[in-house]
Amino acid sequence: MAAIRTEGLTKFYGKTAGIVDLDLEVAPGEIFGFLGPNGAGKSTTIRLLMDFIRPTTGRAEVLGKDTRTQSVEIHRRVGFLPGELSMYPGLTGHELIRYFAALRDLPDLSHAKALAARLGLDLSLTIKSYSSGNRQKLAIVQCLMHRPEVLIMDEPTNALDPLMQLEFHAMMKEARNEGATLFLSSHILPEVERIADRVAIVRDGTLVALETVEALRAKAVRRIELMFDDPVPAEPFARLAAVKEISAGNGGRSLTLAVEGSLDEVVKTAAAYTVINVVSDQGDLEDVFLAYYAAEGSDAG
Amino acid sequence: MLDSVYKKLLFDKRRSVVGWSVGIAALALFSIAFWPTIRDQQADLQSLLDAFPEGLLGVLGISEVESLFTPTGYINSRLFSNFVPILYIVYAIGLGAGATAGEEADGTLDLLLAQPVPRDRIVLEKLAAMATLLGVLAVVLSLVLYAGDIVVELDFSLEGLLAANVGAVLIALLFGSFALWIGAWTGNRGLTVGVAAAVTVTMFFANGLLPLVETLEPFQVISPFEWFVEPFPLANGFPWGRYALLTGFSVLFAGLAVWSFRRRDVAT
Repeated sequence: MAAIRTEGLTKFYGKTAGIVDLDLEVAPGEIFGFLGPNGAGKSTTIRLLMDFIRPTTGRAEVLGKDTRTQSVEIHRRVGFLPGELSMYPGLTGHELIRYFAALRDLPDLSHAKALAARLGLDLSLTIKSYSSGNRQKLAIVQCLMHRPEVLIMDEPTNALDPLMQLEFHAMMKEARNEGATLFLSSHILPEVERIADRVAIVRDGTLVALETVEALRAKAVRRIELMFDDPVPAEPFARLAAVKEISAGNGGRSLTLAVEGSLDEVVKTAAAYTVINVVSDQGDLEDVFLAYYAAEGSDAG
Repeated sequence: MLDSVYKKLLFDKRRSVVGWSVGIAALALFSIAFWPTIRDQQADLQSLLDAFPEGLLGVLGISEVESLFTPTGYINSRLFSNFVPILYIVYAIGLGAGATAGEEADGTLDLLLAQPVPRDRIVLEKLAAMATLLGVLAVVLSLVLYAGDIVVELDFSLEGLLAANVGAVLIALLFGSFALWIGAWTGNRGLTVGVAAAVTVTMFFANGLLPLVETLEPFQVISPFEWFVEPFPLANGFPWGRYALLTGFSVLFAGLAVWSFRRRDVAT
């Protein structure tokens, strides 16, 4: 049985497409990245899985339960991390945890407290005094505290600093090792790349790709900028198969490259010169995948 | 304290309900304190009131001028025919609009709905909390009036006191559950408050003004204020039929709220 399955899942808001005809199957124990630029339909899909909104057509199952008719049972076994970080501002972190634990019939808060301690979150403060990073941590604690079988997370590391992102990724891998399935959305490729097994890419409400991370990595185009202490020729770089675009700047002291797949060749070529800095632009997904989409199109036809 | 949607709402309103209770108690105390003065200056006030237009008296909750000079009639006109139900209704509409529409506007509804609690139960527990909070106000008011009766002899029976307070809660629950429904249906707090307030004001004036026009008088009965105010429960005790009507509409609106909320897409 799939942990999450959608069949022709479609949601229209009036005439605007949220998500169209989505067929997905996420295996138990998988970390599944749901990737796309903002407004592509990621949150819509997550909100359909959580039964906050109802499909126009099609259906979805979580843990074999229908999202429309068995949502309470699904919610019992799922941890949810919202994309919006609005929580009851007047409560303390501890009160919020106690409230949600009570609604889940979860008498033991020790796991929640351990999670908070690990993230360095002070639960005694009121939520309105939290930074957005701390609010995100609190949301993560409530998401994981009942050891859910499935984690559904909308942009989970949005507000976390890099150090906490590492801690969060470690937590995700532990949850997976304990048997949990993870479904997380993101608009940042490297974030998903780091932890996911498989990635779906959505754009304008449509699924454009469904790949393993390795396959994706081989195709993804990223922009990097190399800075040198002296002008260098662009030619050796332009010759590399992985380099799709190249432009020189600063009198030849800097090169901006669009590279498909591995950076290996580029780094080895650059090593012949004195490299001062390498800037790898995560960019936003729209930019990073532009070439990828184009390649898909030409492959097909 | 925070172990259900019901108790969470009581916890959130712990300060507001104290504030409202103090306000209601103060209003009752002022009214009681003025009773001896009103009683002693009956003749002067009588001639003053005779000069008032009938419509104004109706809206002020004075249907018959003579009754104003009995202690029960005075308390009724000062409290139960206007200020008390209106204040309770204001409180109830705020609670009703805040229930689901408020959480939706604040963006907290997603996390609440992600818990294993059916949507129906969220709506009904919030309604139960509204009833409890109104009950607190009613208990405070009853105690103040009971104490007032001991000090300045207000002459109402215990049954009358109970009937008036229960009725005030029932009429507030009617408008509160109406707001709950509009909020659950539209998800828009501002719109909900506006619609519920407009309906309340219309019904209040319908009760006060329709009887002044002979051809319109039969329509006074459409107003829930008529169901509560007209039987004069403080003097006459429980008007069971009319209270059943108030309760019936609350049940209807609560059912509509549950039904509307169950089938709706909630906003981000």
